[in-house]
Order: sequence, then structure tokens, then C-alpha cells
Amino acid sequence: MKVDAQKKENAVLIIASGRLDATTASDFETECSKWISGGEKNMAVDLGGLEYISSAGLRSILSTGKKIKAQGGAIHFCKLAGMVKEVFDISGFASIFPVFDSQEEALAQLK
Amino acid sequence: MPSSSETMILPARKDSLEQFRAFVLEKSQLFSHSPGFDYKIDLTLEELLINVLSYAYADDACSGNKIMIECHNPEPDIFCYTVTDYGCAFNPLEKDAPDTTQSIDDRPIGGLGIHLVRQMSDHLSYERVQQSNRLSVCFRRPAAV
Repeated sequence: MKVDAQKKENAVLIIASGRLDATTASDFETECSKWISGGEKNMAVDLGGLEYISSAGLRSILSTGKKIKAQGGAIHFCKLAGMVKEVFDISGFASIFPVFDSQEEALAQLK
Repeated sequence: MPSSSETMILPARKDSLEQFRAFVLEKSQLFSHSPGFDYKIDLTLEELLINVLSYAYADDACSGNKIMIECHNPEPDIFCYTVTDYGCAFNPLEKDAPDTTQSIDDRPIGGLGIHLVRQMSDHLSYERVQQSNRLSVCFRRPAAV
């Protein structure tokens, strides 16, 4: 699991790759929380390089989403593919969170 | 095609997950091997093992500190693995399915693991046998593409 973050004009862009599972979910949540505590309201998350996500990973995403919402911000996802997309769909996350095809679209919708 | 069951027993600890994962994936890949099928095995196994560690062994009053996994082929086109623990009686299949249409505010954190297992497997069964919980998960061989 690798988590990179880049500060953009309207949001922070988080790029997660590898496995988001029971072992690594806390790393993802800690990185996101750091930006939220630092005052970032909006977040775009690129999951294009994610090979695997389990319910522990979904939990860390939902928890991050709730914190952002509580601050009046928004979280967008992009580049979901394959089984990661299927897990998003069957857990209902694809209807909770806006999902886009590209980083550019995910970021453009965050104002 | 292996017809007899093969078994691994390890301590009920989070750091056993990787060994169990390697064991079950090795057996399942002899049966069927594709990114989608491997993912289903990987995910269901993680969810069930985390459940055992979180619930069956959550209470010190429950004896037992091991988890056993058996892989078997009850029929040539069916692969199953059975997770056995010796903790408190806990049937995860009794949990209500989460409401996946709730908004972000109403959505509780957690409760998705068993939902994913149900969606990704073809058959699930639970039995309490003496002092153990036995949960079996089965997969039909995917149709050749």
C-alpha cells in the first residue's frame, strides 16, 4: 500500500495504490486525517492503482468521508477499475460518493 | 484435482492472516485462477478471519486460541474452504444485511464485511460443533471465457 498526497488549488489529491486491507487501512486513514486536521476541506482520491480493497478499506474511506462532510467539504473518487469498482458498487459506496473517470474531472468538481 | 481436504492451523492472531492467505490462494489457484476469482477468495477470507478475531475471540472468557482452515472440493466444480475457531459461539450469517442505500450521514461505520462475503461467494454455511464455530464458503468454478 502506497499513499501519495499532492496539494492542489481547490483540494488535496490523494493517490492510493496496492492493497487497502485490514493491515493498511489505518495508514490511508491517518494520511487523510492529517490533511483534514490541517484545514483541507476538499479531497480527490485516485484509486486507479488500487489492486484490492476489503471492508476494512471501505471503513477507512467512510470514516474519512464523514470527517470531511462534518467540515463542510467534499470527497471525490476517480479511476476505479475492475474488482475495486465492483466492491464500491456492491457496498453502495458508488452512490454515496461522486466517482469520476479522471483526476482532472474529480478535481474540477471540487470548488 | 485434489479431492481430499488440506488443512492449516495457526494462532488466532492478525499476523497469521498472510500465511492463511497464501495457503488458501495456493489451493484455490489449482482449482481456478483469474484476477476476479483470486480476488473473491482473498476478500472473503480476510473478512471471515477478521470477524473471528473481532468477535469469536473478543472475550477472554472464551477458550481457544487457534484457527483452522481446510480447503476441499466437495464436487469437481466446487471449491470450498472452512474456517474453524474455538471461541465464543458467533454466527456472522445472523447479522442483518446493511442498508447500502443510506446516505453518508446515516451510514454506520462497519458491517460491510459479511455483506461482501455473501455477494462474492456462491454458498455459505455456519455450524456450531461442540466448542467450535465452522463457517464454510464455496465457489463454483467460473465459466471459461
